[in-house]
Amino acid sequence: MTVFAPRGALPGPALRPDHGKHAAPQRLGAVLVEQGVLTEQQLAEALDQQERVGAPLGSVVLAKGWVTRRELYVGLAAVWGADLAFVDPVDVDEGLARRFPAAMLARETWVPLRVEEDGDGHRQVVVATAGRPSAHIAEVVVQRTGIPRVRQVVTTDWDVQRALRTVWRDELVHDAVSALAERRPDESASTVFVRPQIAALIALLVATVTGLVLDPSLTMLVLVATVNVAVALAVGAKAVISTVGTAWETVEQVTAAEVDALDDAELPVYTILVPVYKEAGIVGLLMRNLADLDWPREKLEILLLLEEDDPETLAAALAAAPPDIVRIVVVPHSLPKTKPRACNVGLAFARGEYVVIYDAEDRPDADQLKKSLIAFRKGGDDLVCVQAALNYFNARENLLTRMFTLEYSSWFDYTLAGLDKLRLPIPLGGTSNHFRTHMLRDLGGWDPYNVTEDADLGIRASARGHRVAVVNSTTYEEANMAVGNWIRQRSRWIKGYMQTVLVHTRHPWRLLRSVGPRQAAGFALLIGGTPLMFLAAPWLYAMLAVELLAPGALTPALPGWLVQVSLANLLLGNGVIIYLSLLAGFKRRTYGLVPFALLSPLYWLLHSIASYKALWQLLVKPFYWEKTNHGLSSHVQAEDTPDMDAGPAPAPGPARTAEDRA
Amino acid sequence: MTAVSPVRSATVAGPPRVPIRWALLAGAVALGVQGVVLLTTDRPVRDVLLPGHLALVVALGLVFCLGAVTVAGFAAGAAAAGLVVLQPDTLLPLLVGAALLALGCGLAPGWTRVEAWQAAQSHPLSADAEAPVVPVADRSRGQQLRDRWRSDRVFAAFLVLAFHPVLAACSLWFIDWTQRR
Repeated sequence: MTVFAPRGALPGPALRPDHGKHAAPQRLGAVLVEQGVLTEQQLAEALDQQERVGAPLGSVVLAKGWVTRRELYVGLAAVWGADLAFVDPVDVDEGLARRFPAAMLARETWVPLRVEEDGDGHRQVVVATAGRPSAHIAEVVVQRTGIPRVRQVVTTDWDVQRALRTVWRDELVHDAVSALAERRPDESASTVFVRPQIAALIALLVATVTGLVLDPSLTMLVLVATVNVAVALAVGAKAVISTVGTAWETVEQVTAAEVDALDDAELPVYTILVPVYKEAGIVGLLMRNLADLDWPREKLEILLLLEEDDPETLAAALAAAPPDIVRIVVVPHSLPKTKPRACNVGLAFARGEYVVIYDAEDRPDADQLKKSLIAFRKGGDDLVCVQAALNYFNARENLLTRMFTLEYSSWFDYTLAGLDKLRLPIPLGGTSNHFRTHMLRDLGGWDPYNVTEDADLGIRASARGHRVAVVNSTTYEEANMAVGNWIRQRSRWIKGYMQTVLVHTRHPWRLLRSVGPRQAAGFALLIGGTPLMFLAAPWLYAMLAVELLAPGALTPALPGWLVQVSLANLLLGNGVIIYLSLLAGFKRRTYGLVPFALLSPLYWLLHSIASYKALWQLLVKPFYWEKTNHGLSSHVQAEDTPDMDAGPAPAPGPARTAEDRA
Repeated sequence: MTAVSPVRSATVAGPPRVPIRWALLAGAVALGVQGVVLLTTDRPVRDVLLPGHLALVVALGLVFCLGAVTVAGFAAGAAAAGLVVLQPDTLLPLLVGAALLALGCGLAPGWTRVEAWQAAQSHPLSADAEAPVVPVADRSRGQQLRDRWRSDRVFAAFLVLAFHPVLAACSLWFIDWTQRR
């Protein structure tokens, strides 16, 4: 249904601010008071808040829940002297809609509605905008339609988004899925193996088989020696990188004093993307977790990305009655059904200067957004992403969560810190990666065909000359506590690493030239070496077993020195892994986990199982997203229903700590 | 949406600033000197390297214990492994030394300072874990030591210091065993 107010709307001022940024606040306030939706006292308080946080008055009263979106836009339409329309997607002329790209409309929050005749019989285009009617919109419309008359009406931003999701559905899906593959096919994992890679693999296979037939001993020697060298280099690189990270463990990228010095009025709008799929039970928890964030609510935009074929989660999200800063974006169904595809749709609607991804169960440190902002300001213009550390709130739930926590501590606290210090490419972690929105869009967003789209994006950013850094803030997640679930998750991660290696080694010389030999080596050893280590480990263990049970049984096929080197490699590799896990407990004072580091070799055998599953899936189901079930932890299930509207949750203290709840 | 950690709101001293770069550099120089002596004299490898390695183990172990610098534990452990390779029967004394240093880690004020600083960086972990880092005035020296003590820290420190030499000893034993079979 479309409803028009009696007055006409014509193109307004040249600039088109968001939410009445330049609308005289007194006037909007006066209108809202006059309309009886705001009291004088509330207005006075809102004006104070507006001055303090530097946000538009509309955002302030909306964030405080004093007015509904509809009431606000009624007021804004009156202030802007424009008609008000509530847009029903069926009223949008699809022929007209196709002339306008969805991405631009999503960014600028307006949609063309139809072509009509005005009172004088002239054709005019009617557009609905969630901002002040502007000359810019009129220019764009004239440019794309050739019709010189444009009538602009005001509608809510939610109406604009609903229309976009409905009318521009196919285009949104296409952009989310295929934009990268079409614009930069060389950077997309949509093709698993390119022809030169297939040729190289076939040549390698043929050479190996031929070698085994003609000279089995020499071929085995070459194969085993190559695997040993690769594993030793990969383990060595990890050890060096992590040791460098250990040496910088007390270095703060951003200090508390710098955070305290930030003025809320200078803060930009921050968008939080939360992709959720079949996690109905966990949606409500998100509200309380994010309620702790130290950021003005008026400058926060939370996009809850739900899938179209997941009505249970949608129902749960609606039932949780999230506040106005949370927008539910239903991602249209399409394949591949992956998290990066949903994130790309979310990115199209993001209006923040910065954007970050969190999972629904994530508990970021309160100051994470502020620290990331400071890291961006200190990091220079080429800094595209800031990665916060991830750790687990249910570390002590069982043996697997303990091992997982040690591994994550080692990776995020030491390995990534080492990569940052050595200026090597940083593979991003699953969540808590903060981006400059415009740079992320320039990069092409996430690759929906890569099942570790985050790691791929970190490498792609480096290859394009951008930088990724880490920041001293932590997001607490739920550690996977079931072995089957863990293997599913890990096989996806390892498959993603394989995809990332295949994508970025399509043009090895180009990679070498663009990032330099040191960075290329770091990428090859860390991203390529990780799956290789896991794949090789069972064979090295098999050699050990044979050598123990039947001494000398391998020597007819392999020289004795090579058997010794292989066993030493296995021993040293496990020693390094155990040692890095031992150190991992120190940064976060989780000394109780340290003895479990001695079990790392067993834990790493699980990685080997996952890696063979990953290899198999790479060949038969390369884009299949192994879903990780969240919300299994008793810590999550025990949570109360959150209430973001109630304001900040109590500051975390000993009474509600992770270990206490264990 | 403002949350302030109660730990942060208190004044928290930073971690001890040990010039670990210089300590590691000094260790590298010591190893270099040993190498030069080894190349330019006819003295046996063991005689040349043993004192230097021992000095490194002690120096880095003290940095780890008193300065609460994790990477120094790594370096001390590596040097201790070198000692075991040079002189396998040093394992037991080294383990005793590691245990003493670990006990020192249980009482050294540097660890409490690092833990307090770390607690201010992120969510606290548990009441038990936080208890030693909360500054309490007017305590006797004995009470202060009891406050600082953490058995889990001591055991973890021992593992870090002892792992390398034990691994080296086991490797030597394994090589010897496979060759004797």
